[in-house]
Amino acid sequence: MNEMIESIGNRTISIVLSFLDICMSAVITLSMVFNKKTYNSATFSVLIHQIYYTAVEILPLFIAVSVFLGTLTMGILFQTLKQFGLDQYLGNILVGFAITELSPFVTVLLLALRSSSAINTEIAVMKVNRELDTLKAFQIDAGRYLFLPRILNGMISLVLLNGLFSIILITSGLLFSQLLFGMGLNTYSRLLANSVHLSDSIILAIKCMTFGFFITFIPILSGLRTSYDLTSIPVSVLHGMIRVFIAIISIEVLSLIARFF
Amino acid sequence: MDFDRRCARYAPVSLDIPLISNLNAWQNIALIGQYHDGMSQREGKDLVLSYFERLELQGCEEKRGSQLSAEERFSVMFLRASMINDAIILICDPFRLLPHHVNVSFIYNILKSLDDLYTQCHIFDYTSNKDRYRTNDA
Repeated sequence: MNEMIESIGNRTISIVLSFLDICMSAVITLSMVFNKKTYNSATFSVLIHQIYYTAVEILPLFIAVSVFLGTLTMGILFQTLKQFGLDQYLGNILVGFAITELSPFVTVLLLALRSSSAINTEIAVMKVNRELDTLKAFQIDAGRYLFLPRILNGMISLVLLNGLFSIILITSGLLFSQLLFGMGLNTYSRLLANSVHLSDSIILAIKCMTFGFFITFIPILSGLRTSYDLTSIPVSVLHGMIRVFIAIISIEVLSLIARFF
Repeated sequence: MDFDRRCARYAPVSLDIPLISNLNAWQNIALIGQYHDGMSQREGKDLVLSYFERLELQGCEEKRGSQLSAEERFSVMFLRASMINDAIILICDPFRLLPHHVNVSFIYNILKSLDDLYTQCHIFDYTSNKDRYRTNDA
């Protein structure tokens, strides 16, 4: 019995410490964003490359998924609204569900699957190859040169791609509102404009940036915790990705709670 | 403070301080200038290309670490070290980087070609490699 309690206690302490470690590191990293010293042509170059790999290279796949998923969801959503005679809530549901909830969630899932795993592997490989020691030997701060551009890229890319997904959803919505409800462009845009609230937009922006921060920050931390064995790379990626998905769900739940208040 | 300043001048060339694998040869070298001296990417590239010309390494600039030959890799590592201001270059166990070389002439040639880029250069090696240096006081 005692052993069980001890084991639960140890596990809890380790989870709490790990959480505190993540929070502390996050604060330190964020403080670098506002430091002028952080920015030089090397960090800008990394940032531009990262944005290219994360937000530009993914575009064909992202647009295809957005069009497919967006059209399908909008079709089902609008059909259901019509069946239940809830067409007066069309704007609220489009903004409240599709744009503020569905769009960031799908965007973050796509980015996490593609970029988080890549970042985790990249950092872990750099650690195993002792490339991080190279940076240290030449007095290059890995936080400023390697990690911060990746984190900023996560935040920027997520906001931009979320915007693109939302535009595709709104366009699909326009198509279905014309097909199913015979609604014109003017009525549709008025409906949308009436349903948008400033608080929702702020929560959406904060949510996107938080998603972007954690889907890059957690893989970086996980990559850094890799040991010097090659075999520890897949284990590190596995643990990193699990933490990323836990973070995504936690942020989603917190944003939903925030919207209720 | 003086100690810190001196430490900042130490620039290692060693197998244990590898090239960054996601950067190509010129980026590995220019990174030091870009990060420490606020050099732009263009300036960094031009400078590195001029060094490559001196070492007759044209064509290597876009190669990644794994694509370079042992000699090219050593030269790139040396150039990277020499990008530190007033560099004190420390070459550690060079024959691990240049396993096919029987003597130190290749390293001496590089040292001679780039002697304006560093203030001091020290080579550290095992006494078992003494013969490769053609010296009696190693």
